[in-house]
Parts: sequence; C-alpha cells; structure tokens
Amino acid sequence: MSLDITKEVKDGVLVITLKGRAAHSANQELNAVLNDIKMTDATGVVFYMKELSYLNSMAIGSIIEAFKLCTALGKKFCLASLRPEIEELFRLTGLLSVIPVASTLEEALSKVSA
Amino acid sequence: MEESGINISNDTPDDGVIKTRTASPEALGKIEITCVMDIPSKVEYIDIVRDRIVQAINNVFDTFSADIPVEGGFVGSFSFGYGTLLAVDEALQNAIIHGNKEDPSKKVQIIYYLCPDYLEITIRDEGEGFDWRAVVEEYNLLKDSKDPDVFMKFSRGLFLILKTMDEVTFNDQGNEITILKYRKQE
Repeated sequence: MSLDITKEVKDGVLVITLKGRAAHSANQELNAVLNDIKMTDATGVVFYMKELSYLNSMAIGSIIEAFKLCTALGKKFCLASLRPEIEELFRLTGLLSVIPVASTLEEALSKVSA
Repeated sequence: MEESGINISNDTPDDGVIKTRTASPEALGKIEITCVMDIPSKVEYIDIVRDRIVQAINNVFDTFSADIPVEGGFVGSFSFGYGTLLAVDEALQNAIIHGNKEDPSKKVQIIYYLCPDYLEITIRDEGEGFDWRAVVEEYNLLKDSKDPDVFMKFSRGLFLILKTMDEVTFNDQGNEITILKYRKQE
C-alpha cells in the first residue's frame, strides 16, 4: 500500500489528506507538499491523517518541515485525526508538545481558521 | 533445494537479486524461522524487504499486524507491531542510504531469527560504519527529554530504533546493527 495525497481548500484552509502508508517510496510526494504550502494563499494548513496507517522518520521529517515552513510564513498549522499508533509515535519524539493536534478535522479547521 | 528442513532458494521478486536461505516453519514445527537475505543497495528495496520481513514475522506471531489496516483495529502493542515495522524500516534506510550510499554494487545483508518469544534482526552494510558509541551515549543522556529538538537534531531513524526496541547492538566498526524485541504478552 502506498501513500495517497489529496489537497483541497476548505474555509480558507489548505487541507492535505494523507491515506495509506508514508514509507520511503512516498518521500518525493511528501516533499512536494512543501511547494503547495509555499504557493497557497490559505492562511492555515491542516494535515488530515485519519486513514494514515504508517509513517517513518523521513515522513515525520517532512511533517516537521511543513510545520516549520508554516510558522515561517505566518500560517497556522494543525494535525487532525491521528490514529492511536501514529499519536504514540509523535509522543515518543516529543513533537506533540510543539505541533498542534486536533481529534477531528472540524476541530482542526476551527483551530487554524480563527 | 532441501537439506534438513532448510530451504535454500533464489527468490526473484523483480530482478532476481534477493537471495534467501530460510528454515521453513513446517520443518521446524512452526516455531522459528531463520532467514538470510542479500540485497543490492537500492532504495526501492526498502519497502519490499521490510514488508517481506513483516510477512515472515506474521507466520510466527499471531498477534502481529503485518499491514496495519487502514480500517479496523490495530493488532498488538505499539512497541511490538508498529515499533518493529518501524525499526526494520529505519535500519534498512540507514544501511542502504547512509552506509552503502546507494551504491548498487554494495550489498546489504539481512539476517533474521524469529521464534515465539522474540525476534532478532541483524542488518549489515559494506560502508565504513559510524561512531555508534557517541550516538548511543548522547541518546542515553537525552532519551527522557520531552524537548522535540532532541529528535530533530538527532539521527531520527536511530532515535526511533533505540526508542522502540528492547536491545540494540552494533559491531565494532558500526556497519552492522542487531535489533531484538521480546514478545510480551498483552
């Protein structure tokens, strides 16, 4: 199973939906998302991860880069709907203390569009 | 070719370069599997080999989730199921990308031993190795920190391997890693 990435703008927020597994083969596609963030007029970015079943250190690195880029561009950033094992992975890395997380997409949208 | 329940085969998923030597679970009463694989240092093998190892693990551990389902529950604890998948993935990346610098003429050897109580996987590359003592020393100082900078500045793959495995050892040169995970009853 590979990674499926879809992008849409909802209420002025760029929602990037990740489905499947973010392993090595998905590296380029994930890095390309950084360009989308640079190009968008949206004031907020949400990574919707309800159907993301796996990610490795490279994929985490891409998400960190996306978060840093948003911070530099003055855009709000939030991860939404992390599966328990993905949330546990983020907890292990200490990233949960700096990257905002919401339990649903709606909650994430309201966090970043405020 | 059969010899004392050990099956030696040339497994050819695409270009015939993965070579395996496997003790079949049937021959050993479904209690253990030993396998040696030699692969060229190509990044496209990372996902293939990782999934192949996970498939073998599934033959031994009933509760291991091989392909963590997108829909449906997660089987097994984080540290065993997801953690093992992740550690194998990261160790393969380190060997192919950092160790052998993606030189396809250089081989990565994977040896895994699986039994109902634990799994042990050794991954060896033909690179110069690295100063694992310094990395492990730094990890031991910082492992309990909640500061995300630790993860961001550390070797992320190695950090995750050390976090999720029960035992991690290296050879002296630092071009071989052995990871061990005990199967703890839920």
